[in-house]
Amino acid sequence: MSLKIQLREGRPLTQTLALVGRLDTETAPSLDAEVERVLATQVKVIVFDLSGVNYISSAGLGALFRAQKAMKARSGEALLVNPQPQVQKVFDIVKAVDVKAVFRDLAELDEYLDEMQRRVTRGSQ
Amino acid sequence: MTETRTLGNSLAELPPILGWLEAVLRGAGVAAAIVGELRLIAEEGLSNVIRHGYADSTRHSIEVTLKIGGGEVLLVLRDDGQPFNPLAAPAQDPHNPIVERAGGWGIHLLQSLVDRADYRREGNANVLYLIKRSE
Repeated sequence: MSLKIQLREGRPLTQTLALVGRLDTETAPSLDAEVERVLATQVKVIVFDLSGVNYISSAGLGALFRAQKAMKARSGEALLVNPQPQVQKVFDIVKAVDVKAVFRDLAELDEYLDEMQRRVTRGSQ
Repeated sequence: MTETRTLGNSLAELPPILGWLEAVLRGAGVAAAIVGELRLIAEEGLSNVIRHGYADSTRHSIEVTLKIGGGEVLLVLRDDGQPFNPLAAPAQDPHNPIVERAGGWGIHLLQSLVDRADYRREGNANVLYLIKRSE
């Protein structure tokens, strides 16, 4: 299998899936299965760390798109960070993934998540 | 230089063919970024034929030919599926669920990444000529 998926926990209710390899016809089903497992937990945010992804096809886009749809359906978010240029090029051509959910690097993503946490904290006071 | 391989209409046969294609292109000194895009063009073209090209469930052969030279790579995909010209498929709304299911994203990618392309129905075969500059 040419995709490695590593699960990392960080912030509360946030799961990060660090992907390494190709996200394509062959490997998209394994990402779908991993996302299913994560969705079975109390997760509000799924982060896909794409820094190790060197190739994505429409099948891979489909897996990310389904994750975004599933998270939206439960008022959560699926965010993408660190797409390599060849992966960003595919995002730009097909426009399937939500561009507002794509972050250039971890610093940009952290800033967004901090702001989200502040909003949640304010909302519960 | 010309090389040809054949695969059956099964998604399981796709990875070895794509691996072969990548190895041939790298061996010919084609730049990594172009190799990646040609792999993507081939994956989209072939997976579309395998998923949507056949009305029956019998085994079919798909022929893949690579021709490298003159600063270009020519990729020819030949299948005996139902007549279908992916180059004539219109650019569609990526958020339409029917487009997603019908492989519309892949066809859009294929169309966007090639430099020139041609489709011909030759006898009972779809023949797709896909050209990408390699320099």
